[in-house]
Amino acid sequence: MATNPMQQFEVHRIGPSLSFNGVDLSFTNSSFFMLISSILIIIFFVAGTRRVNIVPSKIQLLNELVFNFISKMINETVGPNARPYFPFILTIFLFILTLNMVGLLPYAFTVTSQIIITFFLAIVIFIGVTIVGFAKNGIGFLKIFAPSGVPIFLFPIIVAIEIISFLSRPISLSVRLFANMLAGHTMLKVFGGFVVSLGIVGGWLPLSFSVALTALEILVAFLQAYVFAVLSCIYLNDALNMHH
Amino acid sequence: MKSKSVAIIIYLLFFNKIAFAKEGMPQLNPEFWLSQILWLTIIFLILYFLIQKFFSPKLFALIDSRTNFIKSLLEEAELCKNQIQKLENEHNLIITEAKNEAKKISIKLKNDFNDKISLKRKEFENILNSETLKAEQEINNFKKQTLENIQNIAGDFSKELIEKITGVTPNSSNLNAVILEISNKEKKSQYV
Repeated sequence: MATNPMQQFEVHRIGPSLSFNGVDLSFTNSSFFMLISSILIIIFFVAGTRRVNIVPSKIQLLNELVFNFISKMINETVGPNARPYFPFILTIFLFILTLNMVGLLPYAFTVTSQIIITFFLAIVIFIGVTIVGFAKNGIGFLKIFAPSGVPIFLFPIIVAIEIISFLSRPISLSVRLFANMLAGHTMLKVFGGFVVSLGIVGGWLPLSFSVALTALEILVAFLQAYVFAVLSCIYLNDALNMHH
Repeated sequence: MKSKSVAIIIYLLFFNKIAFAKEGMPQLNPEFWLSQILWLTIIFLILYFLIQKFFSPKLFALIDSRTNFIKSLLEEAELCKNQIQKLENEHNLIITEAKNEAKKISIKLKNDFNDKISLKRKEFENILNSETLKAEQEINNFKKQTLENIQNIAGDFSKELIEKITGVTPNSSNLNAVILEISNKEKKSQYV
């Protein structure tokens, strides 16, 4: 058994090596669990939308519950003009939620504990929102850095703060998810190690902690997916409905 | 506190990543970064495409159709409610009219009854009056006759008495006049 709690985050190749111009593009355990999560989401939707009825079945009801949850969230944070972005936000939320949940299974790999994954998702959202902002508002999107009603002598400082705040969005968005997943799974592994090392006599206490931590991690898994989706919506709202 | 920890993580990520990766953070090993980005892009795009093209429109259509269905049912219910309200109003109107009609009939019957009663009463009073008059007349006649009988008996008795005492037969007409006078005096003394 691995004693290093960080070993669970190691990425390794699955199957044949695949490289392009010397860059390794092989299928890895991370890719495998991304694929598994996506297949689970597809199964969930296929089962829910196979035979749709006005009076829904259990799985259809679950589909509609997720659908309405995200729909309501988008309506509350962005407004009704965000309907075209609904599938993207839904995909983001379900993808991160499933990755987080699958990562909690024993011997599974937590894809969202990889900073490159969370950072890539965050940077895609950041660039996408910036493009949407410029497409909707033109050069006026730059007003996001210049809040109205600020005294003239504070203006340069505020603009600088706003620019830093705007540019740090992908970092904060990605690090939040990554750090939460990393910390949670490391703790689980550490307590799991205690259970094994203390044996059948003293292992009960860390085991009970492990159980409690698992429950907490399930909550965190949902919460982080939700926070990621909500923040994406808030950034989108800044681009679509400029208040400054 | 939070910003400090974020700063530490940023420092570890961007300025000290190789050292940290070796120490124990496999996430900072860039060996599979491009591979992960590639597979993430492929898998995410496929998932996004499926959700946008198939699942999302289907669920949107379903929710819209359900909303319309519920809306139509609500409209139908509203229509039924209005009809019920209308029927209730008509029912109330009929009830009010029936009550008024019943009241009118009741008053009419009462009046008819009263009229009949008063008619019967008058008839009864007339009969009673005539009967009373008849009875009074009979009583008076009987009284008169009785008085005459008493006077005759008193005359006969006095005649016999006088005859027995004196042995003289008195004159009947004189005797009757005396008796009549005495009886008149008696009458007067009774009324006084």
